[in-house]
Amino acid sequence: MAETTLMAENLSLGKEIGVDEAPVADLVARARTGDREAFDQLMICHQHRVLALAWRMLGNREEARDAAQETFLRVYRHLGKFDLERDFGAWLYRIAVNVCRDQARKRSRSGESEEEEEMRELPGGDDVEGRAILSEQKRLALRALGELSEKQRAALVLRDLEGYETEEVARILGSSPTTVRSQISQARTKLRSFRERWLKSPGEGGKR
Amino acid sequence: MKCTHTIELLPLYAGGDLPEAKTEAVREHLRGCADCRALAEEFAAEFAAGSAWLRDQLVPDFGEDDFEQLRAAVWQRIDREEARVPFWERFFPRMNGRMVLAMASAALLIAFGLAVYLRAARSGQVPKHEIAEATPEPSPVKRPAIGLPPAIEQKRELKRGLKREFKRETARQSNRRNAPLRRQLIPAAPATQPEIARGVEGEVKSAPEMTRIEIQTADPKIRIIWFAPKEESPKSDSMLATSD
Repeated sequence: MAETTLMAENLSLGKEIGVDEAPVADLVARARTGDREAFDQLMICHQHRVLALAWRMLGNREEARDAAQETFLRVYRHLGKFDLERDFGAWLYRIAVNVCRDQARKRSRSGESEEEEEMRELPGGDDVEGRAILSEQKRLALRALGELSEKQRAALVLRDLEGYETEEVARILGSSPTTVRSQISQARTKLRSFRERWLKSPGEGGKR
Repeated sequence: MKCTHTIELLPLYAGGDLPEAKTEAVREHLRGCADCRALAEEFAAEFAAGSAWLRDQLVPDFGEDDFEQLRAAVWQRIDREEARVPFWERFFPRMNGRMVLAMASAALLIAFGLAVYLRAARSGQVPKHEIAEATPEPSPVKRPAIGLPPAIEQKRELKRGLKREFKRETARQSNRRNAPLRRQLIPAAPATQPEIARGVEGEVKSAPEMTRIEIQTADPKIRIIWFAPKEESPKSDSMLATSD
């Protein structure tokens, strides 16, 4: 079941990025024997989702790149220990989530605020008004995620933005579906109240 | 199901995250509760709008260059890591650091034990039976490098010398005593003494103080030989005394 989900996920991703890929299990088996081409294919299959996940979790491009690098490096190091019967995607995204958590902790230790992080994300360009609106919305979205706890954010990103099923999210986060449901419920409630505060009352939103 | 419990479940109900049984229970409650139904509709609309808003705003804008850079950076780090492979992995590629450490510790322990044992053997503290097991049988020409303590060696050598000397002396005495008997012609005796011969024969080896007696039977091919303890009977002494 998990394998078919993974296969479907990777095949669709393969089509999306134009990669004629072999089944993931075969790639993993080859990569374990030191086949660099197979590991490169694995990276091509998963790089979009890993980078997107890292960016949504961390809210910063540079940190997302570092986290994606670290994720693939850890995967390469521990590929020999990976059980081929298990879901490779779940294993990979679990590593990615852990790396993002480590990065977030490192950031909080260094004392850099999320406000500074968000400002670095402002897009460039000549359309000043469009840039201002886009940046405002983007900043608000990042801020909304920033209000969630680390676990709530991971659960919400994986379920509502990455589109995983609750059971898959539980597997990736290494917790039970009940816990994940509770985290998702809290995250959605917080997001709702955030939107009510900042988007449905523009007067108040402008006071930020 | 009560309203409070239903309201708690609405965020999950809106996203379709509840198990089948709970979904059915909430649905059942909403059929009979207008307030909760209105709230559920509001939650569903908000969930759809909120998720869409987040998805729209948080679209990652990484390009093909970013992905290529990412893979290049990963390979660079992998190459750098592989270049500094721990030295044991060149010899034992399938072993991790712990296994190599365990093997090195075991080898060190064995070497240490061997050194202690050899030292004890040289100073004579090892029991004799252990030495016999540990050291090979010494050849008569060359002594092993790891020898016994000198005191034990001397004792053994002395014992061996005494044994050799005793054997030689016994053989010499026996030959000297039996020589006249062999030359002497003994008159034929009645051939009815085989039990005596049998009885004495067993003592030949263990009794050096024996006299060899040979009797020629009527048949020239048969000669009876036996050994008797050498003792001078008081009777013969007295006879000699009387004859004198």
